Amino acid sequence: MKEWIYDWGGANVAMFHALNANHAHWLDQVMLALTWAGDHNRFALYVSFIALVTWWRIARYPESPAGREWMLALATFAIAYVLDGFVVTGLKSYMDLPRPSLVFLQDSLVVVGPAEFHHSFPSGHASFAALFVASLWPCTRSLALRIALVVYVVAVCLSRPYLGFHFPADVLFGSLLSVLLVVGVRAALAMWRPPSRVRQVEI
Amino acid sequence: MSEQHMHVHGAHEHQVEHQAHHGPGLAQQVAIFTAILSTIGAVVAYLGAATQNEAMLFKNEAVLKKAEASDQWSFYQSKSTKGHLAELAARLTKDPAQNEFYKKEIARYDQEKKEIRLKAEELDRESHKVNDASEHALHPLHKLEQALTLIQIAIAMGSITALTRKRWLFMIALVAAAGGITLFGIALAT
Repeated sequence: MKEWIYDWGGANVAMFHALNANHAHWLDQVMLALTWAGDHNRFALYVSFIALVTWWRIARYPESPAGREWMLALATFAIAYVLDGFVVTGLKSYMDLPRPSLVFLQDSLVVVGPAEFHHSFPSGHASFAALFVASLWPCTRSLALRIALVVYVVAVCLSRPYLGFHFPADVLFGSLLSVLLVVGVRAALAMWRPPSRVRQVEI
Repeated sequence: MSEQHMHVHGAHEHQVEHQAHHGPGLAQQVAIFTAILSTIGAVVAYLGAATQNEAMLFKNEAVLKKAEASDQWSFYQSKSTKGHLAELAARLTKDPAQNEFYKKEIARYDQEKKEIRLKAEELDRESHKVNDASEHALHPLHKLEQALTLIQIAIAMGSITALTRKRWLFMIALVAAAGGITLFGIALAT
């Protein structure tokens, strides 16, 4: 079972080596910055950003659908973050899959920073980045912004195997988990909230 | 031609007028509340990380001191072994000059052992002291973590308030926020 779901018939390890093999100093710095941006400790930063945009939207267009959409994104992100913390921590402890540093010999991989050995599945960074992007997705209408969000989450996901901390399967499942969580929380909140007070004014 | 003008209010203007009379809406209050709380949350998270780093540095220092003490105890052990060998040699030799030489050696080893022991014990004491400092530095961490959790709950409850327009949820958010800020204060005081 694990061979197909996690190992992908050897493709997981092969992809890890493909991503981890080639290093350059400048690329290491970029990947470290991406990992920093995907750290769940950045929650306060991201939630402040969403809260300020929400406030600005509501102040400018009170009770507008866009303002409500941002408020829904804020609520989704805040609630899903708390749930994601429990789910990711629980899965990490329950599965306790080894990290690349424990699977491979020291010479056969590059780890940028202090090596970690346990709780590889799922990736907390990938999960957090996907959580942020999935929460904001319905608020963004611009194609450029959506591309930027996808680039951000993919880049955070790539940074983890590149730096030697996760296998590709960890980041993939981490991201999917967050997307499912956001969809669930959003659906629950959408059911609960009352309809908008904005009426169509006919002249 | 009539010069009469008729102004028709749109939905947005109604809201602006409504706000002018009744102050900012609940959604706006919640957004500001969330922004302020998340800023406090960022400070709490930063202090939590700094506390952990400080404790880690103290712990590293304690391990280094312990390793130095261990080196000194090994040195002590080797001097002790050499002293015992000198004692054995002094007993076995028949030559008085050799016997005298080994006795001096035994005395030298005893003296060196005393100095090494003092040094090792001092390093052990320093290691314990720095280890205690590490434990002390970790004390506020639990409070900071609890404060951060309460702040996160407050943010979540606040945003649900704006969606559902149920003010009692905002009361829960305010209580959680107050709890979080109080715990933050306690963590800073300890």
